[in-house]
Amino acid sequence: MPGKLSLMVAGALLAAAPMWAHHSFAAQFDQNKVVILQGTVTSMEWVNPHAFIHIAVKNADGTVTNWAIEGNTPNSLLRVGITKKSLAQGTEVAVRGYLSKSGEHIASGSSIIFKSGQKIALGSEHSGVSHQEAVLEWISSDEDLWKRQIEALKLDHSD
Amino acid sequence: MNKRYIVFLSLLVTGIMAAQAPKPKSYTPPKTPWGDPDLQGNWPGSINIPLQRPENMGERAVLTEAEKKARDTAGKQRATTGTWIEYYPATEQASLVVDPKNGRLPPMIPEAERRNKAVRGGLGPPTLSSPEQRAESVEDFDLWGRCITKGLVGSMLPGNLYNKGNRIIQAPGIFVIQNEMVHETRIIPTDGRPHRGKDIRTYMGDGRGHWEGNTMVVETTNFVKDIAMNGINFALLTDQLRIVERFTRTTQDKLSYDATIEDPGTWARPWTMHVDYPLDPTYELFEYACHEANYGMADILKGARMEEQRRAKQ
Repeated sequence: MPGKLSLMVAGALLAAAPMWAHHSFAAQFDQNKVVILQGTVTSMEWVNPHAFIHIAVKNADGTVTNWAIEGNTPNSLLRVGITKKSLAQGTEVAVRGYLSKSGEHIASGSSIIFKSGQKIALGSEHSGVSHQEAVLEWISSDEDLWKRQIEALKLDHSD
Repeated sequence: MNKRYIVFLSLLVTGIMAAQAPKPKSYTPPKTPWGDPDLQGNWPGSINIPLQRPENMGERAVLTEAEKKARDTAGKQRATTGTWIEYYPATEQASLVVDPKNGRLPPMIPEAERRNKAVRGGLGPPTLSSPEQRAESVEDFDLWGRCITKGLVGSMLPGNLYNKGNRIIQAPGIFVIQNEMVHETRIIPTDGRPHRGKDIRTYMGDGRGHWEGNTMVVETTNFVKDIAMNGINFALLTDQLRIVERFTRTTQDKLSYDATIEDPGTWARPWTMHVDYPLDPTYELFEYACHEANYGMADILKGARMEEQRRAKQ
């Protein structure tokens, strides 16, 4: 129920512990807590050392929680075709990431999908492949696809 | 014709051909308008070469094709399962360290071992991952995690996860090296002026350059003492640290880089690293203002306090 279920925390069995950038990933985020968030973009913080996407997530009880999603450095995001204008305010997105150990509504972002069917990597899970492969998977803009993709995000990382 | 005679003739012909073969010409780089060898351009360290060689390789400095493939596959795997890192292809070079010949850092002197062990109550100098064990203060983060610097030669090490750009800019009497990570620029006088006074010390040191033929030689001293250079975080260095770098454009598209690091207060002997940076005119160096929003520092410290509270309640 992607429309209502806005947060899912699932224990993730990872093939290998994630590596990190200039600071330790494992010290900041819980590798065993994957979050899947569905909401609307409120702002894009195009900052170093890591960009942040802020999204408003509607909870099951109707309240709204603001989440900060940490992405890669703007330099790496630029190199795979993401700019600070890629995520306009109000854009509906679903994000997969890892929950912060600080207990706040912060998560590292590994991938993001749009209602259009577009899917992009926020971290590095697609780095090393060509620009076209890494950035876009334009398929269509139908509502069913969006739902199926969110379900796929959960299935991929909840086993 | 007997067999021995044929062998003799073959050797003779081979010898004559070898004597007549043209010697490979050494590359002459283009000149700047003021007559210096022109090394300017973008030379990203987009290569996967570890600092040290596995001990069991001994003095073999070149990987087999299978070893290279295995290293490349491991790099791809690391980028796939990692966060915020990029993939760089492996080369046949076994290690960045080329002297000592076993590709490994020389042993530390006993005094340096003692000094390092005493840091942070016995935990040793902070590394990139040390906040996972303890995050009590900024002192538990290395200088890179604190967005200060990767230091020398840390800033020059290839394969630094992301932001791999290096750019050289020249002007009359000036040689400039920019590193995308962590947004460092060294402006090195080449006009023969002496080093600054020994009491003026910085993280990147005080460099002076001169040309030896087509090679730019940069000698850097005046480092801040008791810091660790990134990539070699386990060693706090002393104020005796001296680094000599040699930049040579060996082909149009290749920049040979050697750095000899000596710190008699730390290592029993100097050591040298080597890398060939490829020219990449398409590479763009972007600003990396690491301090701009280093929320990770606060988040990690906060997360560690949360963990303490959780344990206290148990």
